Amino acid sequence: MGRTTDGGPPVRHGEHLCRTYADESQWARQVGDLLREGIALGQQVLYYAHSRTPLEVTARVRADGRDLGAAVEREQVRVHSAADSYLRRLPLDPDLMIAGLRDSCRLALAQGWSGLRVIGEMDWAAQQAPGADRLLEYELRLDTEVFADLPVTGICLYTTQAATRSPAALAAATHHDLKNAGLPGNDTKLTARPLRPGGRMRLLGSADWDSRTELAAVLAAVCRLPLPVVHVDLSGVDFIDTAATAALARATAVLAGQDRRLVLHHAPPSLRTVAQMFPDECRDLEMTA
Amino acid sequence: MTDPTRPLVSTGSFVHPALFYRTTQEYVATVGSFARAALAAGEPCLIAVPAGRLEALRPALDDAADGVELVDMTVLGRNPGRILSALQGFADRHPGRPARIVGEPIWAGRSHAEILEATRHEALINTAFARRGATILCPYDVTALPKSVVADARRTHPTIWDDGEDLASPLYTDPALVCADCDQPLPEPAGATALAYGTGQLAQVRHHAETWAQSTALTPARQGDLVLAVSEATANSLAHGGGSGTLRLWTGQNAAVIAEIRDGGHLSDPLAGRRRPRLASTDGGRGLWMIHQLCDLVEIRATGGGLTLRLHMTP
Repeated sequence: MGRTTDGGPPVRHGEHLCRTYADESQWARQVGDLLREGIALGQQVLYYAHSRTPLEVTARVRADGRDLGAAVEREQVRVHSAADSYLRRLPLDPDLMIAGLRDSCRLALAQGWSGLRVIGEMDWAAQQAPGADRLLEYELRLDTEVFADLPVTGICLYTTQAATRSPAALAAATHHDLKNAGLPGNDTKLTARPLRPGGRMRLLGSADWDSRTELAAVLAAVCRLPLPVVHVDLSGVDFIDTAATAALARATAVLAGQDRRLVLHHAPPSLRTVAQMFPDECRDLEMTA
Repeated sequence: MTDPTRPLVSTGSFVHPALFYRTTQEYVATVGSFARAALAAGEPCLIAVPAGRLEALRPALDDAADGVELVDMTVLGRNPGRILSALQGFADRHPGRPARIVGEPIWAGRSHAEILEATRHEALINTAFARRGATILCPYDVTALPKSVVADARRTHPTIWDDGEDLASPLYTDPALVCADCDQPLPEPAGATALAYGTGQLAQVRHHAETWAQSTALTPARQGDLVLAVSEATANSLAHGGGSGTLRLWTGQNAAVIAEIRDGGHLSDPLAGRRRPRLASTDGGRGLWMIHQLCDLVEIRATGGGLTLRLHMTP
């Protein structure tokens, strides 16, 4: 299982991390630490609240210390409602969210801050919000489309309960600070994670009947990635069954229909065996060594 | 009288005779004439018989051998459960033309378990080809095979070619009844490991099977085949077999590896897994077809209590 993600080492520019909390005191402690890190680095910190109102968050932040209160006063720390900002227009649109994030970073830089730190309460993702199924796509795109060239630090905040619920669980599992198995208590059988440098994905786990829902979500996200060639590393997948092979063949066909390609790296022996047994239907599967 | 040279069928009708032969000379003469007649009529011809019989036939086929698809049945039909898929595939590749097929699925030395599944296959040929234009001639070496095998051939073939006679078989039996008779109780193994499984546990099932297989005489590639077959069978338990099942593993004679999957499913279509499926099909037949292709023998027992698959692999 993955290590506990509460706390952890300081967060640097370009990092995209996941933090979980079990109760309000743990939330307050983590948020206080994350805010102070950002303030010390000269970042502007945007906090998107969902489980609490912006007023409640602001009051808690002020109460946590004068330094935080002062940061709020000089608008280095700004608290918004997720529902009134990036969730205002649903269903969730990763294109708009990414564009908004980039704009926010440019604005922060223009105002003299060293970068942007975004902390978001993500529990809405476990509440079947319209378009929440596209959160995974959003998370997978951030590395390439935001963190690669802008001084943005992203921290997704989940309650431990929400982080284990679909579709939030898949989105939470994309974060680099989690070990392969994902979050403690998360029984997700298959996860996806962006590989650095960007433009490649790594799948982790097994692709079988138990993980068919996860695979469908992952492949839907992968097919939406705005890349001419989508590289998927399967070295972390120990088994791919026939149904999953069929899903990969379908994804390949979808991308081919858009003049794009899906390239599978390090395919497990089970995938190669199935492909040999269905040569006609797997002819277009691109598998490298 | 038997006349293997005459056109046997027209499109849309099916003929399924058993050939009871006693000598190689008789075998070569009858099967050779059958094949040559097919070629003369422009009909596609497949001969799937044991390699030794193929060698005996080649001289008799002369130039015709090039137009006939020759297959060693000890390879194709090592697992009788995959023969029917191959025969249907051959017929499918020649749409609108009546196929002539020679299929010898039972030869001397087959085990009792193999004979039961081959007999099931013979019965199901009648179901699978019921409305197709085809002739499937099934040779039986009546001097070498047990009497019970010959008796079952009379139940699974509507007509018998015997000693030059082409006669209707009065003992021909509904395929469903023959299959039910093949559902004989399976012998209880000694020393089997058992693992119960349910939703969310397929990875553990595979890990268990993989770890166990490493202790057997199977090559790593065949271990992978076993794990894939077990995975398909256990996934079927979750999808179609009531959501749970039990996996048992043991080794038998000559280091044979046996995996048994037992669940609450049933086999509504007796032809499930006996025709090449589409990769994307979701009706359950795909997994069973995969299992048939991967294993050396698959024993199937569908009873009121559920479905049991015994998958055999020989090192």
